[in-house]
Amino acid sequence: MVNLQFPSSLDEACKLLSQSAGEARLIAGGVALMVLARHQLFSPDHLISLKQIDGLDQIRFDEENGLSIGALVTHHRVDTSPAVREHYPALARCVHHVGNLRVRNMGTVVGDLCQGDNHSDPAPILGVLGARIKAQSVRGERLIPMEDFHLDIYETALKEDEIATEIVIPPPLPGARSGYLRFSGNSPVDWPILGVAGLLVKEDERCKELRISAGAAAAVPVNFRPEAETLQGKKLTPAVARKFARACAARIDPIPDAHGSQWYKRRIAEVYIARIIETLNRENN
Amino acid sequence: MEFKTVGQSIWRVDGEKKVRGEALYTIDLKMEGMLHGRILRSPFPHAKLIKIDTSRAAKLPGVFAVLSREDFPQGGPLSPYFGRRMKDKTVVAIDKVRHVGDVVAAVAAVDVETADEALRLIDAAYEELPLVSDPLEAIREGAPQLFDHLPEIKNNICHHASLKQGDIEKGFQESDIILEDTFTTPVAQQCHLEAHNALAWFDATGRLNVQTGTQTPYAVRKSLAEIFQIAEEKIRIMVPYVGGAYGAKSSLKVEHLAAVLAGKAKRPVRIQLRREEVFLTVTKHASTVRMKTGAKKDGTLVAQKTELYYDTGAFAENGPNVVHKATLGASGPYRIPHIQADGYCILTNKPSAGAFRGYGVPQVALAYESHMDILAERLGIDPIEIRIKNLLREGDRHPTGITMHSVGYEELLRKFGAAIQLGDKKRTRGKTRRGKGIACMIKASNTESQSEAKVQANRDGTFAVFSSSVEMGQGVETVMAQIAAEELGVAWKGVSFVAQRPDTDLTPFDTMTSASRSTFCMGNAVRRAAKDLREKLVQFSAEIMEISPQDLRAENGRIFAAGAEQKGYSYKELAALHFKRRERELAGNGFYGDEEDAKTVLPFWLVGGCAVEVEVDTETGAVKLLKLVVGADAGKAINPRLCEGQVRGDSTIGIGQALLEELKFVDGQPVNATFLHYALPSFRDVPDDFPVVLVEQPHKDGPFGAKGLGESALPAVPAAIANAIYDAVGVRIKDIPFTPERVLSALSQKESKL
Repeated sequence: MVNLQFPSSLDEACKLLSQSAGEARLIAGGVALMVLARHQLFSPDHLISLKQIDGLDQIRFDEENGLSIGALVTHHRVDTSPAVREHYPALARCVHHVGNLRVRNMGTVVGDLCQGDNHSDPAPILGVLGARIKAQSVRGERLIPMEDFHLDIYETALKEDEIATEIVIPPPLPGARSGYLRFSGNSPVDWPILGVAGLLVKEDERCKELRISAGAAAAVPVNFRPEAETLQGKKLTPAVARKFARACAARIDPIPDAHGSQWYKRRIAEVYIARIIETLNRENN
Repeated sequence: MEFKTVGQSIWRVDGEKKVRGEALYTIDLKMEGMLHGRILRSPFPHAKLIKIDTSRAAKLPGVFAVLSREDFPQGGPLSPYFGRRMKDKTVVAIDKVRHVGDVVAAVAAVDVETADEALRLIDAAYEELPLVSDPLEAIREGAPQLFDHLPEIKNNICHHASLKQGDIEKGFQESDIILEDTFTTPVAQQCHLEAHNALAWFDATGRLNVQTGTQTPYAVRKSLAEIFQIAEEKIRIMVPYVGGAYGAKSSLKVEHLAAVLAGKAKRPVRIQLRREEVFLTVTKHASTVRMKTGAKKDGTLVAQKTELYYDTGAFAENGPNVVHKATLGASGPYRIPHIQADGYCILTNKPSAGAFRGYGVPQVALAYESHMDILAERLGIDPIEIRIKNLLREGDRHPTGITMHSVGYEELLRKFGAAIQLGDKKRTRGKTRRGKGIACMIKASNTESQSEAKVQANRDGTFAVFSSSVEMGQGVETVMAQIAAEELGVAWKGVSFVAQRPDTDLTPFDTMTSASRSTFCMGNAVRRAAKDLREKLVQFSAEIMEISPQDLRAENGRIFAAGAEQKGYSYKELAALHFKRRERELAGNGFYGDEEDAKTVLPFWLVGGCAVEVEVDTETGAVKLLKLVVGADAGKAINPRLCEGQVRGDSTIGIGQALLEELKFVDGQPVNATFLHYALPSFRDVPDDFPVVLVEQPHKDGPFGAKGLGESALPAVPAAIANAIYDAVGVRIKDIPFTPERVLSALSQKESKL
């Protein structure tokens, strides 16, 4: 029998988790956990549900602090949130393509990140938006930047007594355009083989700031900060974008699987990095 | 001939109860004291079973029966082997296991969890044997053998089919152009939504009762009788609604395990497979097809030599028949003077491949329809014209000796061409390129089959149709009702037809619901039964009206004296009068499969094809369908909406096989046997522009000219997509699925050659 607990406050949840000394798992939407249990990859004995904790189901936005997405907020609510659609349209479009409507109505974005599956759609876009994950425990709370959050497939920076309570995204950069392109082979509804997110700020027709993150191909999302820095102050011509994309793709270490070899995944990474730059550059005119 | 009910898109008679959730499927059935069966499966692809000890499992509280080879002593009451073509399959492993998932033991317990716990307590030990995975390696001299006690199997080949016509070498000598290519297709799975399941129990009289979602209730009864070594009449098979089958639910799948467990536990036992187990129960044949085609400069086909190597997995199952069908149809719907085709059904250490919509034809249609397009391009002939030029036509002799009839290929091809404007070759530039392709296919229905039906008039004016055709989503209940209504001459509105679920105690014999045969075979039986009933009603009217039956007419649901329509009775009135006089059944019987029917050898040809427009991303190799036009010759569409649904559904499976599906094995282990990792086409994988073309070349022996069309589109879909990819980007992909990587690799190779 599974011991399933429903704490009514975050403090209580932190206590229960701490007391379990690494034995308990947290459950919010349950999508990832139930799939693992269903396939007998993971048999939970002790679950702590976040469902009855007040406040975790909130999406909040203000100009000063940006966006916060609570641990119980589903993909569908992020997809349809007016604040997200207005201020972070690329994030709304991205989560719209996660799984299917049943999954989006049950699964939470925080849970999506905590599962640590490398095929997560939101991870790269949250990365370029500068998101941080708020982790709370009996010891206090801290904010983990997205790029430090995923350590390996199914492995995150959360300590065993920490609860990811919300995603905090800073206010949009003035003049920034962001976007996400996913490639899932011949089927638009399959897992992403590659997801590329980008954010571009231009000044005088030139690149002021560029952030790119590629997910799904490797174990964790890859950001290309050193490569992107070389583009500062440059015009993003197709040739520049292609050269940049080639340099980025060479640095990815894709995992070969049924959807493609390393060679193939590097090729599409190159194609999609060039495409996201082209798209952002065009939209940012 | 003008029809009243036939030809109308009547809403399906089982529609409302399915939408409301009232229709019962096997999984809905429960019985007092029912146990749950679970199966211990082999973790090895090929191994000797050196030990199996079930004593700890048997002692677990809640466990009522554990089944292993110890229950099958030589000369015992149960036969350990069964199989449709040869007795090769084991109820539970006897001396060895032959694929991952092969059944080793089974447990019946109070609940699934206890049964699973008991499986973990079974102590089985194996000694691994050399793996046979590649069918082309398997047939070499000296390859490890899956079977050594069955004389009909040599070099792992369990069936060799061949077709010969003319002089193949002479044919190639006379050819101006010769093509030679190898095409491959992978293992795929039927992926019916309802997993295999069965509920079995022995009643107080010792009869075995089984509720099961099978396509073949009478064949299941026969096979169970063989295992239990009892008369077939001691077994009753009942079939609730079935949630999809596509061939995967023919012959025994789980019924025998539920039945043997029920016998041992002396309680009802239900087995409901998990999806992962479904993938290990039956699959589609992987294939390698080598095809050599010779033609004249003007496009006339002269010679075709084909070798078909079909991977049937660990047991023969339906494989020999699948390979036979594929081999006899290997030359497509074309007139070719010199033909040689050899098909080999090869055993390997994979789950059994069996019947799957298309029945071996999709594998070989990919080859012959790719060759037709390659020829067309090399010779500068339009792809439609080269096909039409070579078509087998009405009255022609097929290489098997069967006469061509009801084969509307030319009309179909011309309609396909018009629908996608095949000749309109606007070249696209940039990263994405568009291309168009067509393909057609031919498939024989099954031979020597029989169907019987009864149509009964009830006292309230309704009718009941007794048939063993299984409603598995295809709409057979509706079509049989329409055929009966037409023959009886009753208006559709105001009557209702109650379909009896197949039950071997109550509904008459039917060979099976497969090979797209029900509309034709059972349709004829139902039509004859309705005619018999009508004649009985006429006879009865003649008695009460005291006039000669010859002077009576039956029209619009009434029987009346010729020339005096007001003088007569409605069927409802007649039924009431009949039952008032005597409480005796008022029914007609009809049979299909007598000597006259058997003269035609093959009931009918499945005729169909498709045209497709694709967009290929030249940077990623991804293929997107923009438009798919699918079509079939219905003979006569009894219910056009259901026909369109069949053709569209059929071709959707074709889309999956062409673009997405492959059940992969590494060292004999399946690596993606779950819906998490096995991609099936969803509604978003089919194009928005997806019309259906139905042509109607009436079949002289079909009920009102009708014939089957449930497998007429799928076999053509992969070839049409391959042809469209070639048209778009100039690379010829000969291996399905056409994954983006395959397309991009081919594009890269083409560029490096330039």
